Amino acid sequence: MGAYILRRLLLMVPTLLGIMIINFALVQFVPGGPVEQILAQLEGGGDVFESFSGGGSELQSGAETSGYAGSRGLPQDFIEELERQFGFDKPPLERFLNMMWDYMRFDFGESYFRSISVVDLVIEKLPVSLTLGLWSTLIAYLISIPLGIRKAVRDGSGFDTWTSAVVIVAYAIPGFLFAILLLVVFAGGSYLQWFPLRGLTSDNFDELSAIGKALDYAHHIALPVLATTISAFAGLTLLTKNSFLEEIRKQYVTTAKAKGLSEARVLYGHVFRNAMLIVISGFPALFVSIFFGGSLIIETIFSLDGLGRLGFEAAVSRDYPVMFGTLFTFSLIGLVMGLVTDLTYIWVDPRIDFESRET
Amino acid sequence: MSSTRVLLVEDDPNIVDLVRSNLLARGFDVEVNTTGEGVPALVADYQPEIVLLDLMLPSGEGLDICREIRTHSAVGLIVVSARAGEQDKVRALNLGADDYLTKPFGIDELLARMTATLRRSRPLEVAAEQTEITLGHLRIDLDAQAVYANGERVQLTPTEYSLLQVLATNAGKLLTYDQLLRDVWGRGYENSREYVRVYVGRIRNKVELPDGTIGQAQGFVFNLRKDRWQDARVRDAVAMMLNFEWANETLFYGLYERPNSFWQNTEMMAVGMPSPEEVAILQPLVDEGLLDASILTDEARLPFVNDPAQNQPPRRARRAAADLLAEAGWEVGDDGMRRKDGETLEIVILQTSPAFDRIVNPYVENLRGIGVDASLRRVDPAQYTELRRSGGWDLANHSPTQTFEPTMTSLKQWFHSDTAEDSSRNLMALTDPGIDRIVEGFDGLESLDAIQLQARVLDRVLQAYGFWIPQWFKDVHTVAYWDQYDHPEVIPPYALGVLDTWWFDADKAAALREAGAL
Repeated sequence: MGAYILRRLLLMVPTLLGIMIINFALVQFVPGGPVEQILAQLEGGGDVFESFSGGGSELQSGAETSGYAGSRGLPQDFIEELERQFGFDKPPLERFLNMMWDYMRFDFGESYFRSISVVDLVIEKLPVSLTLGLWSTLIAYLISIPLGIRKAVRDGSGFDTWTSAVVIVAYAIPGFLFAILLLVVFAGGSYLQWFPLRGLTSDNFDELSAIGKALDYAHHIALPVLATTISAFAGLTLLTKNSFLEEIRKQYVTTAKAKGLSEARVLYGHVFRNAMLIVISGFPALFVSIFFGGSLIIETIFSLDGLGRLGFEAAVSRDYPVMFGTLFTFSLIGLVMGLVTDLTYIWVDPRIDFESRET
Repeated sequence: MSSTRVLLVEDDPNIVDLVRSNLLARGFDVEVNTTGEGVPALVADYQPEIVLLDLMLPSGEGLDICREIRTHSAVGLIVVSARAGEQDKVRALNLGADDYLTKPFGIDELLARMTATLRRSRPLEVAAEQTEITLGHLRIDLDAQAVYANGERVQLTPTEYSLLQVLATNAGKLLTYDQLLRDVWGRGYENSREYVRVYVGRIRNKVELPDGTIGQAQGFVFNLRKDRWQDARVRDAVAMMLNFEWANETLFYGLYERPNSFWQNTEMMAVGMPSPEEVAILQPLVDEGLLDASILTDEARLPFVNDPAQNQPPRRARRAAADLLAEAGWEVGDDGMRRKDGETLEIVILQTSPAFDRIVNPYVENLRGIGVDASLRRVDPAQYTELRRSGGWDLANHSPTQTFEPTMTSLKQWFHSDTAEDSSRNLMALTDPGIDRIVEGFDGLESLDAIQLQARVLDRVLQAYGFWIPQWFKDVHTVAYWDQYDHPEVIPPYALGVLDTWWFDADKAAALREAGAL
C-alpha cells in the first residue's frame, strides 16, 4: 500500500510540470501581456470587466489630457522600463524556471496589479466561493441521494416519472437565466422584494446577534445558492437511482428479503454500501469544487466577489502570478484529491486492489 | 394639455349617443357609465371636470350617487333627469348638484349650462394668464411655445415641450408619475412610466450649461502605415459611410455634437475661407509643393452630413463613395467586395469597449454596402494595446485633443513624422512634410496671437488631410442638482465652477422643504 501511494505521489511531479509547461507556453502566444494592460490603464482604459458586464461610455476618458506620465505619449524606453520591472527582459525559459523554483517552495509572489500576495488574494475571495460551493453541494446531496433511492425503490411508478421530469427540466435551465429570473422576481426589480439584491451580508452585519448574523447570511445567500444548485440534481439523482436499481435486482437482496429483514434494513444495511460506491468515491474531488469552485456569471449577477471573478480578471488583465499561482495550487490539490479518491475506493470496497494490478 | 373631461352617467342609450357625439364633436373628452355603479371611484380615477348625472339608474337612486360624489370631489355636477318636480330639483341641489336640467333638453342648453358650471367650478389657471415662465437660466415663452436656455433657443418636440411646461408651471410642487402622464400624454398612459423617464432625460440633456473648453476631438483614425489609407479618396469614401446624425438621434438621444477641429469651440478652430494672415503662412508651403493649392481656395472642410432618419446613408452618398473607391482603383469583385491588385479592401475596426458595438456595427453594415470588407474586432484591454502598437488595425479610436497654448514639442508627439514610429499619440503614423513644417513653425512663437494663428493654420491643414473620421463630443455640462443651489447667469467659460462660483439659496431650500421634496 505504501509503495503504491509513493508511486502515485512521484507521478504527480511530471504531471504538474506538464500542466505548467503547457499553460506557460500557451500564455506566451497570447497577444498582449501585463505591460500592455498597464499601458491601457495609463491611457485611461483597461477595465477588464467592461467586455463582460457592460458599462463604459462612448466618450473616451481624457487621461491623455492630464498631466500624468501616461500623457507623454508612452515612448519605447518607458515601455522597456516597465518590461524590466516585470522581468520580461529575460528569456521565457529563465522566467519559467524561476517561477517553478519559487512555486516548489510554495512562494507564489504578489499580484502584478495589487500589492497583495496571491495566497492572501485567494483567501480574500474564499468566503464567496465557499458559500456557493458548500451550500449548493450540500443541498444537492441531501436532496439527490434520498430522492434517487426512492426513485429506485419505486421504479416505473408515477412518482418516478414526474420527479424525473422535474429534475431534467431543472437541469435544462441555464443557471444565469434562472439567476436573472430570481433577481427580477424576488429581489426588488418589478415584483417582490423578499431578498437583498447583492452581497453576502448586510452593512450592519457586525452589530447583529449570532442568530441575526446567521439569518442575515442565509437571507443573502438564498438566491445565489438556489441559482447555482438548480441544475445540480439531475446527474446525482439518476446516478444514485441507477446504481441502487442495479443492486436491488441482485440475489443477495432477494436473500436478505427472504430472511425476513425489514425494507429499511435491506436498503440501508445491505444495498446502501454497495450502491453508494460510485457516489462516495466522488466526495474528495467534490471538496475541491466546494472550496475553489467559482462561477463568473452567478458571482457577477449577484454582485459577489469570488474566485470566478478573480480567475477571469487574472486571465484578462494578464496577472501571471495569480494565473499560474492558482493553477499550480489547484492542480496540485486536484492531483492529491485524485489519489485520495482512489484510496477511498479501497476503503469503501476492500475487494478493489490497485496495487496488485499492473500499471 | 388634454381637453375637458366629461363623465356621463346615463342608462338611456339614445341619450348617451346623442350627448356623447355632440360633446366629442365639440372637443370634449367623454367617459360613459350606463349603470351608475362605481361612479365615485370613476370620478376619483378619471378626474372629470364635469359630471352629467341621471337620477333613475339601474343600480339605484341617482341622488345617493350625487351625495357620494360631493363628499369626495368638487367636480362640476349637473343632474339631468326626467323628474321635473320642484321637490326633486331642490333635493338634488341641496345634495350638491350645481345645476338641474330636465329631460327632454336641447343640446345647446346643455352646452350652455355646462359652460356656466365650468366657469364656476374650474379653478383659475395661473398658467393661462402667464405668457412667460423663467426658471434659472431657462425661459419658456408660452405663447410662442418656445424654450430658451441661457438666451438660446432649444429645439424641443411637442411632447418634450408640454412635459417641460407642466413641470415648469408646477415648479416646486411634487408631481406624481400618474399626474404627469395624464397631463402630458392623456388617459391610458398611466402605466407607461418609462415615457416620463425617457422624456425627462431628454429635456435635461437639452437644458444644460455650456462648456467652453476645447471640445474633445474624438474620432476614428486611419492606420496610415497601410498603403491603401494613404489615398485620400479611399479615406473619404470610408468616412462618408459613418452616419453620425442617425447615431446621435437614435443611440445618443441627441446628446452630442460632431467635432470638426482639434481646437473645437475655440479661437484656434479653422472655419470658412483662410484669412490673409493664414494665407501668408500657407502660400510658401503651397509654392514649395508641400501642400495642395486648394487649401488656399477652399473653405475649411466639414464632416459629411448623413440622413438622421435611417442608418443607411442616402443613395447619392453611397454613389459618391462608390465612385471615389472606383476612381482609386478599387473595383467590385464577384463576391461584392472591392479589390485592387488581388487584395480585398478590408477594414478592421479595433475596439475594446462593448459600448461601441452599437455604433460600430451599423457602420460596418454601411461599409459593406459599398463593398468594403469591414469588421469589428473587439478584444480585451491588453490585446487592444498590443494591437494598437503593432499596427494590426485599420480604424481605431483616438482623441488628439489639444491645449490652449500648443507648443512644438507637444504637437510633434501628435502629428510630426518624427514620432510616427514611436508614439501612442501619433497613432495614425502621420508623416506629411507640409504638416511637419507647420508644426515646426510653432518654435519660437512669442505671442498668444501668433500661436493661435499658427494653430488655425495647422487645424485647417489637418482637417483637409482627413486622416480621421470625427466621432462626437459634448459641448455642455450635464448637471443634476437640487433646486436649492444656484449659479451665476454666465458660468466661467472653462469650468463649471460648482465649488467656486455656485451658492446655496436658503429661500429655495425652504420652499423645497415646504413642498416636502427635501
